[in-house]
Amino acid sequence: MLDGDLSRRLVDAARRRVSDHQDELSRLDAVAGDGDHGVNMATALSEAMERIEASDDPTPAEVFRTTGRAFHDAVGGAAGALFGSFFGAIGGQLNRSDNPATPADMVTGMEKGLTRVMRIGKVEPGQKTMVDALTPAVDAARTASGEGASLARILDAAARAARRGALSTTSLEPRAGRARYAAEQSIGSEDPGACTVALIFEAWAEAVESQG
Amino acid sequence: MSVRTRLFLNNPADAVGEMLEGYAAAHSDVIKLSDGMVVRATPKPEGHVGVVIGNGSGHEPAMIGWVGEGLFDVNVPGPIFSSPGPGGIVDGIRAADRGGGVLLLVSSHAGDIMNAELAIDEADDEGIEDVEMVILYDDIASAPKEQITERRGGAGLFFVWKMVGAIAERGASLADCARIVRKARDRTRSLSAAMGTVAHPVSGQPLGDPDDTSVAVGLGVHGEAGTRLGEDVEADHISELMIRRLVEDADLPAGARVGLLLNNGGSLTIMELSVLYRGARAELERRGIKVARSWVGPYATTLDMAGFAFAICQMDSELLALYDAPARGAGFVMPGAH
Repeated sequence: MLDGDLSRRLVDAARRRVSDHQDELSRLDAVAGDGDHGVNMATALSEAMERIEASDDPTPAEVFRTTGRAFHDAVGGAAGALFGSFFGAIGGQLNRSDNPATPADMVTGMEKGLTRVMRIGKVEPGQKTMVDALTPAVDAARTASGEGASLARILDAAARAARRGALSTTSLEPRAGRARYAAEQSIGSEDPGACTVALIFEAWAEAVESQG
Repeated sequence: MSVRTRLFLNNPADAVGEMLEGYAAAHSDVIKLSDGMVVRATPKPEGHVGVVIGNGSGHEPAMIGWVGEGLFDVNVPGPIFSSPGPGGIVDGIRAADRGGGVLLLVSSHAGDIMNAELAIDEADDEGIEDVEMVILYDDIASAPKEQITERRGGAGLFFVWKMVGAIAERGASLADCARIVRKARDRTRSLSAAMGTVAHPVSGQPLGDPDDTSVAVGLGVHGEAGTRLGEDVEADHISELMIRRLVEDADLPAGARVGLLLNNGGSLTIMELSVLYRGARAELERRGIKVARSWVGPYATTLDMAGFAFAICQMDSELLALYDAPARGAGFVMPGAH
C-alpha cells in the first residue's frame, strides 16, 4: 500500500537517482537543447523534498502535488510544465483515493499523468520526447496491475519498459519542442526527458523493493 | 575559438536572482523588483490594459530591460533559457492588472506556451477575467511560411513589444492592443546568424558543437542549430543573403517602408554590427525598400553569443507612430517623436 511515508521515499529516491545522473542528462540535453535538463530536474526534486520535509505527516496526495508544484515553480520551461503536470496528476488522483492508496490508484494516477503530459505538450509517442518512455511504462504498469501484481512488481515492470522506451528514442528524429530545430544532431542520441522518466521509475522500483 | 565556460558570477545557480537585484537597483528610477518579478516603478493609470510577459533569463536586456513607461508593465523572468512556471505567470497577470484587462504575450517556444496555457487556466480558476494571450513568432528559419504559426519567437518581436507598449500606454482597449500585437507580428520577420556557441552558465554545457566555428544562419535564441555557411564568409555576403531571405519571405514589394533591427546576440563589436548594418541597408536599397527606422544594439541576447539577428517590420503610418512614441525602460529608450 502507498502511504505518505512511502510516497515521500519515492520522491526522495527519484531525487537521488536524478542527481547522480544530472551531468549525463545535461550532456544529452546539450545535443539539441540548452544543456540544463539534468540540473533542472535535480533542482526541482530537491525543492520538492525540501517542501515535503517541511510539511507535517503529508498524505500521498500532498506529496505528489507538492512535487508537481515544485517542478512548476523551481524549473519552469517545457520540462517543468510537463513533469510538474505528471506528478500533479498523480497527486490529484490520490486525493480522490483512500489513504493509504492502492497500487491500482497509483496506476490510475500515472495514466492520468500521461494523458495530461500528452495534452499539454501536444505530443504523441514517436516524437522523441518523455512520452516515449512514459507510454510504455504506464502500459506495463496497467498490465501488471490488471494481473493483481504488487506495487513492487508494477513499478519494476514500468521501470523496465521506461528504460526500453528511453533507449528507443536514440534513433528517432525529434518532432516536438526545441529539439526539432536540431533534428540532425539529435539522431543517435537519447532524449533527455525520456531518460529522466526511466531514472525515476527505476528509482521507484528499487525504493519499493527495498522496503519489502 | 573557444567557448567561455566561466562567467563573472558567484554561484551560477544564484545568477538570475542576483542579476535581478543588481539590475533593479541600478535602474530604480524605472523599475523595481516585486516577488521575483520586474515591475514599473510608476504603475500605469487605473483602467489601462496591463501588458505582461514571462521569459527565460539569459537574453537580457530582454525582457527585464523592457519594463517601463511605453513598454511592459510586468516581466516574469524564469530560470536561464526556461520559461517561468504557471504560478509565476499568474502572479505576473495579477501584478499587471490595472482594471482594464491584461494582455499576456508569449514568444513562441514550447515551454513558454505550455506554462502560459497552464497559467491562463489557473487565472481563470481564480476568477481573474479579461486576460488575452497572444503567441508571437517571427523567425523564418524555424518553419516554412505555410506553417507560419509553428515558427518560434525571435529578435523581431522587438517591433511588436514597442508598438503594443505604446498603444497600451495611450489607454487603448484590450481588443485594440491585441489587434496591434497581431498586426505587428504578421508584418515582422527575423533571421539570425552566429559563429561558435555559448555554454550554459549553470551546467557548463556548450549549446551545440563547441568545435564548430563556422558561420551558421537560422539559429534559435537558445543556440538551436542553423545552416552552416563555412568559416570564410564575408559580412556583406551574410547580410545580403539574410536580407534577401527576409524580404522574399515577407513578399515585400519595391517601395515598401520597413523598420530594420540589427540585434546584437551577445558579444559582437560595434565595428562588426556597423559593417553588417551597412550591407543590409545596401541590399534593401537595391531592392527599392526604404528603411524608415533603424535600431542597432543588444535587444535579445544569448549570453555572450557571437551572433546577431536581422529583423524587418513592414511599417504603415499607424505602426510608425507607435514605434516613435516615447518609451523608457532600463534597456530601451525612445526619447520621443522623430
